[in-house]
Amino acid sequence: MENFPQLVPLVVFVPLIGLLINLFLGKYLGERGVSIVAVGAAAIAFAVAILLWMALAANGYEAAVIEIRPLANWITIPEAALDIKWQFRVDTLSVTMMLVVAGIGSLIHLYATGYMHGDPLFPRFFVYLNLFLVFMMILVTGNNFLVMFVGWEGVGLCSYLLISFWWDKRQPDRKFGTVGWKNSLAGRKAMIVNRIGDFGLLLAIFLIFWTFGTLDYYKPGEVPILPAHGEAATHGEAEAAHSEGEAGTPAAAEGLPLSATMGVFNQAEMMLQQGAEVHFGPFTLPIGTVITLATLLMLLGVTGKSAQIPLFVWLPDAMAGPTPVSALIHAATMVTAGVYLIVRSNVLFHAAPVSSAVVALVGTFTALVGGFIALGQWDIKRVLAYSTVSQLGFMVAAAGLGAYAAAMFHLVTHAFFKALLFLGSGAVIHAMEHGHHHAHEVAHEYGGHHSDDLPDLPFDPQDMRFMGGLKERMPRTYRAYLIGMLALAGIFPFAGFWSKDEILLDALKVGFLNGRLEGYIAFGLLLVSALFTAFYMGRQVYMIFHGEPRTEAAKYAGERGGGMNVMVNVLIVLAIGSTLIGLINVPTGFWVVDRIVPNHVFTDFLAHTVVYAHAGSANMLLAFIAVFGALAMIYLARILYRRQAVVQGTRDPLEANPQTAGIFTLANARLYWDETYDRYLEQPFNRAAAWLGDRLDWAFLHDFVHDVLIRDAYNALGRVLATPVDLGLIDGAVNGLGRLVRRAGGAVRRLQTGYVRVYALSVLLGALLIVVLLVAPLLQQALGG
Amino acid sequence: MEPTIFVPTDLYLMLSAVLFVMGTLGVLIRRNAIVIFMSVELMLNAGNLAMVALARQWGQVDGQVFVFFVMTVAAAEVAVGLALIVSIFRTRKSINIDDLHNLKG
Amino acid sequence: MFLQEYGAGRDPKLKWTNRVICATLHKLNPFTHRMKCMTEVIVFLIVGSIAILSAAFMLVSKNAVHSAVFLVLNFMCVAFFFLTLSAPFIALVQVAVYAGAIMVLFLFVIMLLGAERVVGGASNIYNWLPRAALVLVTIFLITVGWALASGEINTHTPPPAAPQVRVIHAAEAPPVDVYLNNQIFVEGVNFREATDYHSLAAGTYGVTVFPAGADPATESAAILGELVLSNGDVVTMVAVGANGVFQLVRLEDNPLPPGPNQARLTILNALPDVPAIDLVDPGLPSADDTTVLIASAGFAEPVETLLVDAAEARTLAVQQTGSAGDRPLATYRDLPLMEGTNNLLIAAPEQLPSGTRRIAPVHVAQAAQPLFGSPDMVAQALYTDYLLPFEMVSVLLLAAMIGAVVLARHDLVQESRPRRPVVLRPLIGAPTATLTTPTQEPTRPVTTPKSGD
Repeated sequence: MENFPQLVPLVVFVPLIGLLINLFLGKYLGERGVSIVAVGAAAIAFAVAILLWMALAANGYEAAVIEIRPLANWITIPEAALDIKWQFRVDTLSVTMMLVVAGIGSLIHLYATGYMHGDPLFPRFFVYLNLFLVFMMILVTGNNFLVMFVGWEGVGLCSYLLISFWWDKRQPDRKFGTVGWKNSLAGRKAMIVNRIGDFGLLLAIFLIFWTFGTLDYYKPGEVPILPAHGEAATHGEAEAAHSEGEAGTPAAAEGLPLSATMGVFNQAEMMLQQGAEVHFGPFTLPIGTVITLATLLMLLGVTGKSAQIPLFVWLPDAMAGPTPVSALIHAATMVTAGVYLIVRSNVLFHAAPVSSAVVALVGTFTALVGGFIALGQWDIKRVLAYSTVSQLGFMVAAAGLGAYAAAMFHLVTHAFFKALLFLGSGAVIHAMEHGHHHAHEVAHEYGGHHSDDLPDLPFDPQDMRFMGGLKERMPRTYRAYLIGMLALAGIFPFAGFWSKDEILLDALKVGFLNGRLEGYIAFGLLLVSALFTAFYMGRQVYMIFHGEPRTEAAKYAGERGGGMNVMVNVLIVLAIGSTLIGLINVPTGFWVVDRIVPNHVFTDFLAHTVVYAHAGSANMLLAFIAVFGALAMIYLARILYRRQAVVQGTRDPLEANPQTAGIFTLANARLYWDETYDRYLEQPFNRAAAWLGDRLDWAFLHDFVHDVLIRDAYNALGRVLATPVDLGLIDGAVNGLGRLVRRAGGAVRRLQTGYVRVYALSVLLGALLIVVLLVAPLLQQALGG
Repeated sequence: MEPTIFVPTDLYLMLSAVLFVMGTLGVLIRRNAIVIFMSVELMLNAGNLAMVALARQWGQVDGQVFVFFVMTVAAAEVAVGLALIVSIFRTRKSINIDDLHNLKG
Repeated sequence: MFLQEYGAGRDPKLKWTNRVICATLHKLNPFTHRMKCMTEVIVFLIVGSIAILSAAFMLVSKNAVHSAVFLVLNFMCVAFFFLTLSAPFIALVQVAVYAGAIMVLFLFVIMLLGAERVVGGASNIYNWLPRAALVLVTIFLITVGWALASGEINTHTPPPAAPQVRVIHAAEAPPVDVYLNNQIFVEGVNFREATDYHSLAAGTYGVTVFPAGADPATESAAILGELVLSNGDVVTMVAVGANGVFQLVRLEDNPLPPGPNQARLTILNALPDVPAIDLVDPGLPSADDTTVLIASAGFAEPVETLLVDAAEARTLAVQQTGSAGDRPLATYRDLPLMEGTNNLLIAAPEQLPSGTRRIAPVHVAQAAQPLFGSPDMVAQALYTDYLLPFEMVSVLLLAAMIGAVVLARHDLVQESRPRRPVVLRPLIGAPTATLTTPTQEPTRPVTTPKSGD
């Protein structure tokens, strides 16, 4: 079991092999074969992740760094002392991520085999999904920022490919013409918005490399230096303390650069203790400032990938992709990469209080904004998308507040219940589509008898206003969805309760105990966001499942056939997970529960890697307030949405009420966020681009420089060279030479008589000439002497 | 012990020159291809004589070795040349060298 | 004239009649020399006239068979000249190959073709050609004759022969390397060992001798010396000495062969602590003074060489001068003194591996050059310096034989060859369709009807 960390490359390569098989053989394997390969690859990756977890437990949670031969010297330029290795890092943080990604990923793969049933591009979809797993695993297993960046970009690519997976759908769309066009635009938006964030991350990586000379988190075998007040003085700290005030570390004395022996984080700790300075050509900055700068740039990357203000706008549009994609990439795993990055770099963020405060505020406001917008959405997936934005805000805020363990905890629980909710919504959408088809068939069967009842408006299976009364038609889905809703709303004892409560408590602690302003702000706003969460989830459940079916499609919806069985089974597994997963990190002092279940297991697990992780203790009052508030909000939603069935064309109860109409309109219009971007960023940009294209490129460069200056000049030059120079001079010279040679040859050929004796005579003449030439000097000598 | 020289080498060289010249005349004047060949042999012999005379004069055996080589090459030349003549005679029914003047410019 | 080479008739190998003639001639030396000179010149003139006349008859004979016979006569004369020019081997080859094989081949071809006389009309368009040839040839003769007569052409002095050097190690010392002008000359010469002769350019050389394997840049030389070489020198350098004091002895060798059934013999005293030694023949009575073959050879002094009769095995001894009758210093048992060899005896000090010192009898034998012009000498030159040309000429001869066979084949000869299609327009730029050659009748090679049928 000690050698199990050596298996870690498998989590990357097994999905890679799976995708290659499906890429080249998918056409011949059929849906069943493709499903087995893809789901099998994901499942094997999950099994390997479990083995790695067991190995960690057996090794005393000691981090391991694994190299495999062909990849080890990934980027090596000896002349520039640049040596970036591709190493796999197995520690509690990466294993947590691996378990989440592979575990949830396997379930979603399985679900997708049902959801994508009958799609002509079935193999391609699973190739993309496996590719996503490959890159996500690269992201979480990499031992340095650059490998992580490769994964980061790779999952971005998969996100793009999967959002616009149905780029060729020809159904009409109100705004974009066809749905396919809408989908591809959504993919493009995700790609472009993420580029802005990645630009920041890339700068952060450059800055880190400039400062520390390496990109590795920790070198193989290196132990994190604990904070100065830490109890256990590790080897690394002793070394750092020893070298304090001296010119360099022992490693430096041996002639090795520091970057060859120490990773980024330990170097950062050491330089902070020494108060070192970093030189940028003419500028010199203290290390603290540099770290603040790097973490702020990193935050830009986080806002892109994890959909934070101001770059969150791509995530709601990303719901254009197939629902399993929304669940896997845009809820459970990829968008949490930003949180992973912050937690992974907790040493840097801890050393930069300003950045942490900014992170906390960004997260808090994102949580609030996301929650608020979700209140006024009709689209079932759009509600969940804004909910995801909001929950990611929770995680980022927690990370900004220093509650790294709480952030990771929320990441894990959120992965479960949000995947559950998305997959549940997928099941609902699937059922609605089938119901729609069924309704048409029935209408057709009875001679258009029902056709008058069907609305003229284009049918949208995702619009909650078309649903209602699905509780009786999809009972298992309803129960699973209900569990997901309760978990998300933070109701005891479901998973979301534990993680959300821990974040709120941490925010409160930062505010009250440390007296930091962002703590108060975060606590207050996050509490409001939590209430929003409970409300919009209640609204969603009541609109979808309760009341009477509002359309024919809803009437004929059901959870049988067409791959629905697999989907519902996955929902049940996830529902069980969403119920129980919260128990992995029960805080101390929580009423009866802390005596039944071991306390903060997950935090202790993470603390082996995350230096600044700390466990929380429960505050029963806060828990009570939060649960009570959430329940109250759900009840409010029940009052509002159970009584009045919202149909297409009628107004929402909130909208109908004059006091809340403004709020609802604002939420429904998504705070005019996209419009603002469109008006103040995109349109000026487009106008500038158009001007540059028209004037500079076309009119100046093409019409003038290219056509006039270059082409015409060349034509003129070519004409001159062709007629007088080539035809006159060069051809004349060559032809003249030819004529000359021909005439000379005609004259000289007479010498060849063909008579051997004449030739012999000429040979004799030549020989005689040679003899005379030889003798001539003697003659001269004799005459002269 | 150097060989004693009674007849001066120059005499041998003069004799060689005369023989060579007679061979040359044979090549130039005669029209019978075989006789021309014989004249060539005569010229070669004249050269051989000069070389042997000078070898004796200088006490170095190299001249004699060269004569040996010249003889070998002459034998080869005669073999090929006579084969050529036979071949030509078969087609032309003549060994008059003046009849063979097809290769003219 | 070859009689002269065998000395004054003392050679016991000659027949008694020849011996008498030679002795007489020797006695009458001044007179006979002139006589012989005259005789030889007269013979030369007679045979030379025959050669020229036969060549002239060959030239003017109408009948090719006559020409061939005259040419044979000419070749015989030339062979005679070869004999007188100390080239007996070449002379024999001339007779056998030229006069024999080649001329028979000529005659055979003439007879085969029936081409004794030229048939076919003589073309008169080049009537001026014989006259032009005569003029040119006359100019040639005048030029060459004048050049020879003027004496400006050097036909008498041979080009200088490069000096030759060999090294013998006869000192009480480990193997040595010898450097000339700080360039390695020979390396790893063992005690008693003699190197081959090496050709060098004439000049003055600084000689340094080092223990084998020593680096001349860092270590000091065991022997420092100077070697002056002029053209024609054949030199043996002997390293002698003991007890750390060494020197080089220069010996002049005679490369020419000794008389028939004779060998040259000389001795070198390489013992530093013995002032002079004698070389004695213990087989002869000790009282007789003639037992001492070479007397009083001082340390490192060259002494004159002795001509002795060749012997398969002869026992010789070395004795300190003035100690006749004592036990000899060293004894050469069953020393082979082969015919035509130069034998160098060296009495050298030697330290055996056991530590005891003794006097080693060193014998170095070197075959002298064979007789000038003899088949031996030609063969030696052919198989050493001229091996590569010899091989090439052999290959040429082989190729000529094959070529002759191929050329004389019957089916090679065709009376009429298929005419190539005449292309009127240049090929360049012509459309490919026009390039197709007109269909030809399949042409069978037409064999010439045999002339003998």
